[in-house]
Amino acid sequence: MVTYAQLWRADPGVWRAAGAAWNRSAVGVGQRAGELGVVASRVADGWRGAAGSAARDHVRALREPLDAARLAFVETDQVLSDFASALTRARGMLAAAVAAAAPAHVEIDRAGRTAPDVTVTGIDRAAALHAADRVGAAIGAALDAAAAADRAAAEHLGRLGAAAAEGWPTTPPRSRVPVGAPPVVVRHWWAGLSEAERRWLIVHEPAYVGRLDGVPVAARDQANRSLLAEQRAALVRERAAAVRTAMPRNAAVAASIRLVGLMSGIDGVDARLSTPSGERAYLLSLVTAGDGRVVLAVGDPDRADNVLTYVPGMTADLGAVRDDLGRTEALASRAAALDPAQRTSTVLWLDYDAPSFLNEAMFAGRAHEAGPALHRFAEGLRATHDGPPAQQVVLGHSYGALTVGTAAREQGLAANDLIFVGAPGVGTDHAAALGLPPAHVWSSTAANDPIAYLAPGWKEPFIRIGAELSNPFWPDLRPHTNEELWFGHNPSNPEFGGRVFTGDPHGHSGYWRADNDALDDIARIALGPEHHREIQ
Amino acid sequence: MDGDLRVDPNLLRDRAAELSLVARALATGGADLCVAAPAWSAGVGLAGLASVVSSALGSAAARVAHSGDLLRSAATGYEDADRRAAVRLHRVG
Repeated sequence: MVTYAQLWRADPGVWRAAGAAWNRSAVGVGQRAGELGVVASRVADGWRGAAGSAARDHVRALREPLDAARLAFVETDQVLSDFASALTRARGMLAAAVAAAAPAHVEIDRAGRTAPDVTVTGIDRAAALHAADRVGAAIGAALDAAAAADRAAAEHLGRLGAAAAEGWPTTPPRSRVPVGAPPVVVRHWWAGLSEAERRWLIVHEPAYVGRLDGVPVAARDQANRSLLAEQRAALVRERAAAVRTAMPRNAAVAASIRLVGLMSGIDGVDARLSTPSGERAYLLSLVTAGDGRVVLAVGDPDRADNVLTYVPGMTADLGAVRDDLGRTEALASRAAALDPAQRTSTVLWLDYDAPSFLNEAMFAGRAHEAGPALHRFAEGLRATHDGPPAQQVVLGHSYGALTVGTAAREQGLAANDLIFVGAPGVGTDHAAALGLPPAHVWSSTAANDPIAYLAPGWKEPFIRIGAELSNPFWPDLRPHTNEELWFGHNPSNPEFGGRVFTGDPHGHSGYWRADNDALDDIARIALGPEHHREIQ
Repeated sequence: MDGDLRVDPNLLRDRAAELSLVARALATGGADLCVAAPAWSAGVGLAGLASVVSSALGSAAARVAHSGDLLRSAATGYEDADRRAAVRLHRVG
């Protein structure tokens, strides 16, 4: 049981700080495990023979419990961060209940008991009693929420303690999931594994587990975090090799620039993963091939009431991930500010080869290629979610809007709502083709977003002729927002059939600015139908 | 076994020293892992977990340190065997 005074005194920050300390310990233990791996590989350098081989195997075996301990430490960070978030929400509920007391002439004593304020004269006693009950119930709900979170955290920590006492045992899994199995099948398979089997898979096959849609987010996060240091080290080695050997020299420079960009991206991701304040980040995928890809969630999507997946557009890649992480963060913060009682997770989904330049963005090929992966990812979020399904929303910006629209039309998307901002068209001329009721398809294009002037090239002569015919002496050749855009009908045009929300004129990249109403509206869509009526 | 036996005792001692460093780092790692919140079940659970983990890491550190000792003793053993063989051969003349 959690008391009124106890919840008032609770400081979520200390739990987050403890989580960060466990995360640092995870990094430290991971380094020690890596050092043991190096010793194991080098011990045979000075020792050839049966005893040397035995020594190598012996040192190698010392590593496994440390790798498993590292996972357990990350899991502890997950538990503590989750508890801190729950405390923050419970305290928000408590503050709201207390704030509602005074205007309703309700007194609250030190134990949190409520009663009509007897010092106020001339009030309706029945109404005051009713208000006292209402405030009391709200306080009780806050205390219950805190107590439930406390219980859940304690149970989870207890299980972690039991595993630690056994030395974090690992066992190879008895069964494997078929390649290409749907996320719901993967989820079922994962649920049937023992803890030791899951631990073995994350320790020995993190690259496989980390990207497997249908594996719970917490496990994917543990796996992907464990890969990060080696992924960066591999880039350093690759760059050194490129600088040493690539010919001609300009090829070495180009390779070096690409690799440094990827390293910078990993550093940006790592910095966000290590941030001790705010909602915890979960790494759902990171790939360094090509321009690099990343999927990162702010808050745990498996335990959230609402999940907003953001798909960025042209120029998005791992090297430029800080901008997109900032947008993902801005969405999460705004949703939390608008409704502190709800838990909203925002996900950056950059698991496709987004166009780097206009010559690539002119074609829909990248969007088509991304469709199956985005479809599968959204299905995976549905499959792994704890409790009732979350309000799941997918947001596409710029070319990312085409990617979302194409996936929704061709594969279908497990989403309650779709949002397009700054879209150059979404691959269809009508919202009804996207597999959702048109009332759940939203779009906004800023008045000064140049994307709205991106008419298909073949239309330009006709637009000019039309202008000259309507006024041969002073044809209006200024650019106009077009109904037909490069990839289909403008989704922000009423004829598209979806719902349009407005924002302030901050250009093509200003939808995430703190002072833009569009950010509020995107957050409201993510928060679910009860917030939709406030959208403008 | 292919009969190829080669040992560099100094390299073994280098590896043993590296294991000792790992053991020391394991034994001293981990600060601020608890929250002083006895009124919360999570605080009590976290303190229990930290205690078990500390003990588990201590055991792991001891195993790693022991492995370093084994490498050192192997290096010494090889050198002793070499010395004894040399003495015996000198005696035979």
